[in-house]
Amino acid sequence: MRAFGLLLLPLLIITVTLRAEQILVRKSDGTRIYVQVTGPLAEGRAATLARDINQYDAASKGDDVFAAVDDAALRQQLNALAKSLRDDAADQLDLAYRVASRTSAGMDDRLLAPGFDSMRQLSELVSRPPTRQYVRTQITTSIAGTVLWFMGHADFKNGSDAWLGYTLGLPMKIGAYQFRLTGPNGARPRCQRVVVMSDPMIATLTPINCP
Amino acid sequence: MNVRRLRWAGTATLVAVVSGCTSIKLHEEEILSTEESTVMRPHCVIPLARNLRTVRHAQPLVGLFIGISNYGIAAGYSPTPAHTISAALFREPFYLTAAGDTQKNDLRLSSSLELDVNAELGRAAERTLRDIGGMARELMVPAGSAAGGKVRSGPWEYMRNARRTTRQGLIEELDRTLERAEAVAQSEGNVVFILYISAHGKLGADGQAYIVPSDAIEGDLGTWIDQRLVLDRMASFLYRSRLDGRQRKAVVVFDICRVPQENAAPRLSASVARLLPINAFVVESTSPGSYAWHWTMNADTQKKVEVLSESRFGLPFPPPRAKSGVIDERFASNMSIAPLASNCAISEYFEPQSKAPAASATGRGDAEPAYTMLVSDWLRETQDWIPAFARLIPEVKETGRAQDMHVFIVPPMQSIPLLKRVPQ
Repeated sequence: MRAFGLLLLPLLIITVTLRAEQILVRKSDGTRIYVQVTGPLAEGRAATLARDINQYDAASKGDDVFAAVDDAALRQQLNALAKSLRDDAADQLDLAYRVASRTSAGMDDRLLAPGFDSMRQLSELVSRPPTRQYVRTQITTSIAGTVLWFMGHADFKNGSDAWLGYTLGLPMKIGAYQFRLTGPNGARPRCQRVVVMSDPMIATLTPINCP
Repeated sequence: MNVRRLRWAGTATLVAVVSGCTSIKLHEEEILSTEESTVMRPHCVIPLARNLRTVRHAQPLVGLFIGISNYGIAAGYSPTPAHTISAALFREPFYLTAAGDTQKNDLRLSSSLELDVNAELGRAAERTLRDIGGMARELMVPAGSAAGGKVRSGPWEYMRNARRTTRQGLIEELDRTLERAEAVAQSEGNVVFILYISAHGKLGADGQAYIVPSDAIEGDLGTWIDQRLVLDRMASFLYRSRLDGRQRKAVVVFDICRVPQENAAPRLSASVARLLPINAFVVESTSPGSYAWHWTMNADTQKKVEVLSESRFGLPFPPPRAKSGVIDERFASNMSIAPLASNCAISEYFEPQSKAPAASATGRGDAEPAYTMLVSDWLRETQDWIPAFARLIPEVKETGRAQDMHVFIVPPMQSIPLLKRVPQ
């Protein structure tokens, strides 16, 4: 019996060691991302982001993190937004690895930053969820002479061009949106992803060139 | 004899054997046939040789094409065959248009690439390299030691004339090649020196751009190569023309990423203007903060394999059977888009069906003969090709980070012939 235990111990050590060298994160489409913990493509922040995502997955598995919310429609909306934020973080992690393999740059921290933003917003959403589906918004930009447009972020990722005009004070459903600024003189449009969840939602956009 | 100790030793031995060797597979196979088709290979890159059959160097060329593929763990980068493939591709048109071994030998490739041809990445890189003009004889399975003194047993391939891509090794190689260029300038009266570097790059804490050599230590600027050091070496070479009247010209191409800081360092223009005299072109394949994107070239292979014999053992289960029958494989290898753009620029310029190009506007007065490609023509056409390749890389659109090549020309613009078409 003792010998059998000794037989299993090295196998267990090897398995645990192998598992410790990389972290598995799954995207919404089932794609697996293997985040290196050791080796040249190991990047501490990538591993941190991967752990954050997996921690949320473990905490939300089988349990509705918004179970305390009475309004069923609101609860559904909150879960949808939480999933969107989680999936965005995983997508950003995947993009960072794909770019690292497609360039001579190695792991670029700038590509991980939006992923961390998503997980931070997810954490805020879970700890202080909004109390109603529609919130007041005051979204502005410091760039003069621009017009704001928006659409659902999922639609934007799917290539939709059905932009809606935004006016200051517009009530908006909680969720992730893509905002687009068009300026005078044929300037290149600028874009920024905005997560509407606080009430009121006050934000000043600092967008970058649209992809 | 202590029975208890024997028992422990036996158990430990059994554990060591089992944990270190949980499966064994021995088999013998015969590959009956292999058929290959390629996809995603730009038409203007292959076949390059056909378009350049009647093209030669317009004046003496000496070149050093550096691909830093191997990195130590301390450097913080994975090894990548892409840089060696890029250097080989950039050299290819000049190699194919060289007349004779002397001219070919003056186009040096510097790389200490190691390829595990049992691994998919290694096989794909080896296949791609063998397709590039001048590379078939550069690869070998070693019998002795490779550059750096390290040789691994098994199916590893190395560069036959591998040169160290350490910091010291690269500087020495640059100096040696410049000495050769100087010798050519003395004997021929003129020379064009081409330096191409494909490597990881970084912006240092001092705001300057650095090349990361194989033996770099992450965070230690002293182990990196300042791009200004390279320009300084070029300047020393070029300035001799003011003393002896011999024509020395240079094209320096930095095909290197400079992330993560955006706009943290100016382009090299300030250093170039200060360090280099006329007759110099300095090329940055991408902007500060942007990427030098890699193109993926795929090759599909179908082979018919017959397994002649097989023995399998494993604990708790034996390994899977060896594959037999028709097996489809896809090999993918990466390379920088800058050399692809360069090759397409040269290939299309000399396409047999193309009309004779008009004499280039140099502002210098004398018209160049037709069918001559000037350095300025080459770099301008290459610049135009870069976005065409970048647009086809999915991650370019996802990140919004395109690639724009920048050419610094120390004024006034020089009319420097590079390649010419000769009568058949």
